[in-house]
Amino acid sequence: MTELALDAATLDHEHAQLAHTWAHAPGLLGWLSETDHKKIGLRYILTALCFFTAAGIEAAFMRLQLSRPENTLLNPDLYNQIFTMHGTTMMFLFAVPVMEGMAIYFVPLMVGTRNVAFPKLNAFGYFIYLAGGLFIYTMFALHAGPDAGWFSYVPLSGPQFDPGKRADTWAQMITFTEISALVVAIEISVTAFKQRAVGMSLNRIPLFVWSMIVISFMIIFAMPAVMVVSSFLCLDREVATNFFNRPEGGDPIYYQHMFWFFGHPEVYIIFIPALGYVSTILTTFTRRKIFGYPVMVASLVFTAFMAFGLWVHHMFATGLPQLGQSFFTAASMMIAIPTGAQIFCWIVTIWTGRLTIRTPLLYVLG
Amino acid sequence: MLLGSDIQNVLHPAGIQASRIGSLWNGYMVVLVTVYVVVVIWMLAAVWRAHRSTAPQVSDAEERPHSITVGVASALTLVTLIGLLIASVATGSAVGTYGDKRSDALEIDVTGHQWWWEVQYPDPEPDKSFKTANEIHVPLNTPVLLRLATRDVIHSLWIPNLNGKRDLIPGRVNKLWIQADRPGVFRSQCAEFCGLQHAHMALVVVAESNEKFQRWKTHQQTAANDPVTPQQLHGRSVFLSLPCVNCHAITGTDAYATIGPDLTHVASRPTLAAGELLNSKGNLGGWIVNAPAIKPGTAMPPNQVAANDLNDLLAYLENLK
Amino acid sequence: MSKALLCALLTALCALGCHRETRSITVSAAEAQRVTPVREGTNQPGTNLMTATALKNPYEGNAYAISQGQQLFEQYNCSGCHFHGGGGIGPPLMDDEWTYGNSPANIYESIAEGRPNGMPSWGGHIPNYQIWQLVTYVRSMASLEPQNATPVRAEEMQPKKAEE
Repeated sequence: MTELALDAATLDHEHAQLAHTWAHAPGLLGWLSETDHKKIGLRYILTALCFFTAAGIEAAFMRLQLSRPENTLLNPDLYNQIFTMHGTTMMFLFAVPVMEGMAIYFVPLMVGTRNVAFPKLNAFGYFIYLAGGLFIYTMFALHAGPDAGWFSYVPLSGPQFDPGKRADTWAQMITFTEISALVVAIEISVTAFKQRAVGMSLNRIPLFVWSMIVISFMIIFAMPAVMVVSSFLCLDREVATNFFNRPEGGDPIYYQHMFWFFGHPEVYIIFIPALGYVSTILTTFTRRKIFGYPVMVASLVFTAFMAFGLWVHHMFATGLPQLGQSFFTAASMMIAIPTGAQIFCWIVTIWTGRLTIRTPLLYVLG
Repeated sequence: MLLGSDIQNVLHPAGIQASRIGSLWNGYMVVLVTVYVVVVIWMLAAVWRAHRSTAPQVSDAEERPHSITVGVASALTLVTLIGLLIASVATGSAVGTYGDKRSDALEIDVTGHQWWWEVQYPDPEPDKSFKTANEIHVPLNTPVLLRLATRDVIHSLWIPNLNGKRDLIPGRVNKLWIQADRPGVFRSQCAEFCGLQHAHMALVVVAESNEKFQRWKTHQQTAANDPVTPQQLHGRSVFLSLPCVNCHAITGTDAYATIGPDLTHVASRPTLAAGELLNSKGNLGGWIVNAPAIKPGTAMPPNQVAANDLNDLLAYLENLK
Repeated sequence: MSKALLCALLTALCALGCHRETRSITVSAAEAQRVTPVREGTNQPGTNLMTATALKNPYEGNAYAISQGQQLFEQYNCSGCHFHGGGGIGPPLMDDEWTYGNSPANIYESIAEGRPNGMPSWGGHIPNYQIWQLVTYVRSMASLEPQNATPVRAEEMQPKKAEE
């Protein structure tokens, strides 16, 4: 009896210790030191939505300015800053982070683990993303918002044609958000590969998780390119290196290659999670498992590979060799095959399923 | 003259390059719309069928025919794509190398500036080569090679009625073939964001019969018209005493700077300041007196000129047909 | 209290940042004036010069003005004698030796009135604001303008055949 009682006491003690370990610390400090993946995921999504709103307001200003010819609502200087801020916000502060937020929230739940791998790193990733966003908006408020387009092509963003600190602001923000994206990508891939529940083999995880694994790998390979190129831009602007200065052996085209080696995969980093959503919603509302699971996974992986082989189609006007253009045209078209295969699989899934038509499904069909 | 649906329209090709691109576009449109319609009908059929279905879960064996369906559909996709690819590559190479073997080709140098276009017609005899700005004249049915360079940032030349875009990149000379098959005035616009006045960097291409073109060319090769009236004569001395000569050239005078557009035949051009203003006496006067108010950021400074001096200056410039 | 401090700090930051980042893309009538200095002889700048004390550079520390000055420096062929600031025919501009002083007003006078032995007088030939842009750029070459407003290098263009 005494032994049992002792046991109960130990258990209580252990329980209390566990509760203490997992409890949320109170107050501001607690908020700052939060590592729960659901909370961090929600923060990502909410922050991204705030930036989305800001970008929407910028877009409204642009449309107002363009609503009649020779409008004087915004001067050209401010207009350039606003459209650059809009593009930058949408690409770097909304589209990717909101997908990362979804991954952080859902992936641990779907693979059956308590938190993402490296939860503290996860919190760090969020704060550095927030810092990047606040930084660029502060600079915008100080009249030093970037004004060379969201792509910041040299030499328009170079030391001679973009005086002041505007392009530096842009390049610095890229570093902030891309560090955050890399951190998330590492967490999600490690979580999905190492922390799955017992018995959940890779061919059993939901397609949503697969899509997040695929974009994590894409982020790991694509984002360093833009970090490097924006750092080169900073070096050109701050310490007079000549990465993009033709007479000294640099080349402005080099910037475009590096940028689009990131920029095109970025499109798929935003697109592939959407494929994951569609698959998840379809299986739920057709009340059957997805048709052709291996094909779907293979398609996602193939899309990711192809996405790295067609960046040059953003540069067709730069006068590159004909043969190279043909190669990249072919690659751009071939990406339709995995996408087509997925759409066909979805249709078959619907065909053989028993449909419950609810709002989410209507969105998917639309 | 600068209005009308035909003036800058990718769907109304006026030359062989643009028509090839246009037919490619139409071909793609037909194929892709067909594919889209088929897929949407298939999906709606699936929804219709599944909505009423009360059948139990299908087994793996029953799914086999569906695998074949997906396989066949994917194979069809591949075949369609290969067809489209061949069409696309053929068009690309035809457009890219169009006039390489033609000996009658006309070569024109186009240089981008923030924010205007410098157009030079080179000639083996240096005194027959001449410069104009923001307009390209081309004879009909003749292949024209545009050699594209830039003085500052990246610009992009896009004449939708004649061909696709081609960038003007620092440190490079890019080439673009155009050929106009019907007469007309085609508008073009810088297609790569190049700073404050990117939106006001337009160009017109005037396609005209060979005869008219030769007449235009011969006239452009001549020196500027000499002032006739005392007013024009005074206008010229005003021009030469003002800061104008720091940047502009007028052949036959002491003004030979190359920073701004060549004004030798300025009155013969349809627009001022890269399509910003129609070329009229009033607009020209406004532009001289305060260009940055019209086109903020422009390199053209405001000029303080006494009213009668300005009047004489305008009389002189208006005479530079 | 802290709020007021924060506001003051932000305003100060804004004032600093804003002046550096402002781009004067339109020009007022006053700025566009051309000042013709008194010339006594036909070739030499005169003795009855403009007073330097009354002159204040409106563009000090302004990044856009420095960059515009950089372009004007090439366009008006200052490089023809001063060679990108290294000097040759004219004196170097990137060192700390200044024959006629390095204050904005001094440099303004050097440009506007010219100096003996070769420096032409630009007053009357270019508008005032461009002289000030040149002044700001010339000072930036000698690190007399804030470093964070000064471009570290220029873009030089050399046409080369496209890859085929």
